Amino acid sequence: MRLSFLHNKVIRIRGDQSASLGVMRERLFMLGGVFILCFLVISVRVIDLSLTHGLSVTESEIFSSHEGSDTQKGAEIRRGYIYDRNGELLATSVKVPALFADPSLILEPEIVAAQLAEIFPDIKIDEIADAMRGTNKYTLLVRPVTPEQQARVLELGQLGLGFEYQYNRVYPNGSLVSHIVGYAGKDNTGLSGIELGQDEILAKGENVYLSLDLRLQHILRRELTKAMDEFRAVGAIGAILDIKTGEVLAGVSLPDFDPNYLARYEAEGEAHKKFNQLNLGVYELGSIFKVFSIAAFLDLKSGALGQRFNVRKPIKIGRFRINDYHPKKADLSIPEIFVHSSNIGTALMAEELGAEKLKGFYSDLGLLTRMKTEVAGSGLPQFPEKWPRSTLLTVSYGHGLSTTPLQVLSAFATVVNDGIVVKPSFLKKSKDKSDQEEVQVLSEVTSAKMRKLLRLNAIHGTGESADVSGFYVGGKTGTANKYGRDARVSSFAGVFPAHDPRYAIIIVVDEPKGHKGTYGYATAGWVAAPTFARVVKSMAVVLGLQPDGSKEAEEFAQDLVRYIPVEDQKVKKKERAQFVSY
Amino acid sequence: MSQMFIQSDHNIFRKLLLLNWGLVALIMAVTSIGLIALYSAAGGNVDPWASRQFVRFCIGLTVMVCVAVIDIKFWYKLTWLIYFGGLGLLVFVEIKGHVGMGAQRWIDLGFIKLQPSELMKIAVVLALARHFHGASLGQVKRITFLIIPAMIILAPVALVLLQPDLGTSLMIIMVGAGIVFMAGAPVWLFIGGIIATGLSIPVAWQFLHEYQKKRVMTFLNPESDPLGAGYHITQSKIALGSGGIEGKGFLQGTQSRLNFLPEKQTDFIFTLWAEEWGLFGGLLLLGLLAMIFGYCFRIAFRCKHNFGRYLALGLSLNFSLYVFINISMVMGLIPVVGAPLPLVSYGGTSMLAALSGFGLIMCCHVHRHSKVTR
Repeated sequence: MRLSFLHNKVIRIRGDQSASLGVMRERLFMLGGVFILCFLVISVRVIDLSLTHGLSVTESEIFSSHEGSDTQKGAEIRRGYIYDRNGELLATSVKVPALFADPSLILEPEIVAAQLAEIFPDIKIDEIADAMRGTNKYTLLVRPVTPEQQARVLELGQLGLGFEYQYNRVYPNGSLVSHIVGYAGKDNTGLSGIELGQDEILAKGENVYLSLDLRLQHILRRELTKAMDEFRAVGAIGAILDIKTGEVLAGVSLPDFDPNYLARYEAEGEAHKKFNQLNLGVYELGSIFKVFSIAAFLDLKSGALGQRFNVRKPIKIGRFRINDYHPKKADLSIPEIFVHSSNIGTALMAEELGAEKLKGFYSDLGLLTRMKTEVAGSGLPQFPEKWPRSTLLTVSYGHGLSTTPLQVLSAFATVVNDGIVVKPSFLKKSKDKSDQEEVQVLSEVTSAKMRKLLRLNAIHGTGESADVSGFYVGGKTGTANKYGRDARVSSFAGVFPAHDPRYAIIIVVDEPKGHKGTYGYATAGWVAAPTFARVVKSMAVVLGLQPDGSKEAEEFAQDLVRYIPVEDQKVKKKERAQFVSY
Repeated sequence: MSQMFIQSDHNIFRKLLLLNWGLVALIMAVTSIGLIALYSAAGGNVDPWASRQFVRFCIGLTVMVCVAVIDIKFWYKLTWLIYFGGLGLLVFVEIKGHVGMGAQRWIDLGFIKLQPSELMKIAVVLALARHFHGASLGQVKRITFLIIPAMIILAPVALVLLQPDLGTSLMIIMVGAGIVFMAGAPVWLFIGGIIATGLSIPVAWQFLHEYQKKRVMTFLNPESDPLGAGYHITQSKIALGSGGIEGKGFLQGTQSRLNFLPEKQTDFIFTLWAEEWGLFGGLLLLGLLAMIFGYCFRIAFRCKHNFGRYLALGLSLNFSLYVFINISMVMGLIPVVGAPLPLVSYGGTSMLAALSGFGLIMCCHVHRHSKVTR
């Protein structure tokens, strides 16, 4: 049908308009046609997705495609698989073809090499040609080979080229669990992470079940990535610990890597992405250490929370001075020192305690020795050998002492776990924990006091933005300056529920930069604490945790609120979050 | 511009009778689907989304009827005020706006966060309709005559790009181009434009933000990064597919409700709906949206003056583009650009903008016989 009938229906309104009317109606019809077409395309796509169930290739297709090929050469043992605690596959071995050559049968190595280079863009012609020049009977050329590449090699019809099937390690979750699972080399031996730490078991063909929960791992990684992007940080580290069992439920170190494409990182100068900062990196984490020093003071000096310290003047050590970021002109009680994160107050407690006792306590918490786990490798804590007064005072608030984030999380969990040492484990534990030896390094009474202080800090302190309604978070922020540079490490160690601790989480953001939304601040209260809260919220959904409305939970730590002056309680969350707790 | 309008002889009640009640019924049906989906998104609860959305819809409906019964000559006269007022607001947010999601986009009026870019989409249509109203084909064929429309389109596009909001600026360009096309501008202009755009993509790529580049790359291959940036699309496709033909049933959509699907109450609400109500539900919603478009298109076609034709067509283009972009996005046909599904997605500005747009379209219908003179 033509559009000519349109011209007949032209209604004259004004002379100069009528000329365009016909054209306009034609074009109106064309536009209408285009839009109807768009609606049809969308409808077809809806039908397509509904009938094909969303994804074109299923997981089972991918992993079954190479099974059962009987052209295997030799009796290679299949390396054990690695699973998360719920049986999700983290590392598997898939049989893939490898291309080999029998040089004695190859007549023109240069030509064959050139032909292969077209199929495998990564290989170097000279090297391949050299490899095919020998007199031996077998030279491995390329592995792994994709089915398409294999077909093209077969089409070449070259004598002396053949395939053998070998197991290749595949990591279905890519970079999600990269640092903890680690990777194995082409010879199927572990080179890092669990792959190295549990190499003996895996090499025997036995499977390993990790303590990790892939869902929590995803949540933690997602939130840390968000924080890294938002604050343009150079790195972010986090871990979730089950306090009751010591199992690490999630552990993330960003930036991370995809173990399926290892060579890429070396080639692009990004080898640093392979470094596991959670287990191997050592950092000064600053004020989080006040948790440990104050716990030591309360426990070893039988200190009372109501005891007051004069923080009016900075402490002088030679030509150095210990200052508070927000100086208070008063004698402060311990809850106030904790909530204001007073360096002077903490240092005074450490001085009263003495170097020997503080060092002993840190050592009991495992902060001064290498912490071995099932994941291969662990960072060695850095601290001065001798602890004169200057060291004692600064170490009490986390200066001059570097540890791995996992170590700090473990010590933190120990403090809130009635003083019973929580040793992190990356392997899933069986239900009964009778085989575990319980070591107590802190009294239950002191641990309860610390839990209250931590909870108080999330009600009226720097940790306020970490609180999640109904889950009674307790925690401590830490912001440490990097030596000699205008850069910071923002961190938060928290526990929930504070009255009955179950989960401990650490969040570390390396070199965050403030933005408009945080008024330019990049302190822990703005960076690490809100990330912690988001992790807790998502975790609760996945684990099916219900908000607690009990009186015990509601009133926990409320008896400490009286130590906080009324005007301090009214400080707005926004202002409090920018307190720097060095 | 000396001659003024001829008085309309309709009174308010006659006008109310003249409203397109069929279109109103369709709008209500689509909004109801949105409310049902929001109820489900909150886990079978009217709070926090469905209740607020309902209140906004009621307010929007009133605004729509008011806009529709006001004489079209009034809107004609007000065009430049609305246009330059909108430009002013865009400049204002650029200078002093609230920071939201990394881009400055809205002004907080207390009861609503006004996004001037939403207002601007309607204002551009109004301004173009007024400019082309009364223009002869001979004029439109002259390139010099198209300089002003180009400026009308590009001024707000430049400001919106600064925000930076690539999606909205592209949408303004497409709607504006649609009107210029309908006015009878030479076809080679559009073919040339498309070719030039294609050629400039490699250059424009340099100016995109890192996250925008990532979105495009992810769109091209979402499965390459299923737990990172491809997460939205992959999850959305899984959710859509898992609904199958009959759907999982009301309140049974696990993919969407268990927080696997981000932004489920705003941009990805179509996914949630289709997961629970299946292929039939998805096609029903699409069908209703298509009928709305058809209705608006008919209004544009039957209008007796050019201003109304351009206005109704431009606004229905705007509406339909939103529908296409949103649904194509959740199904992985185009990159994630952050466009709501009009009437269905949770959001005050989007609801108000959509209903005001329909108000203007109906205004064109009610006053289709009016004499609008330059």
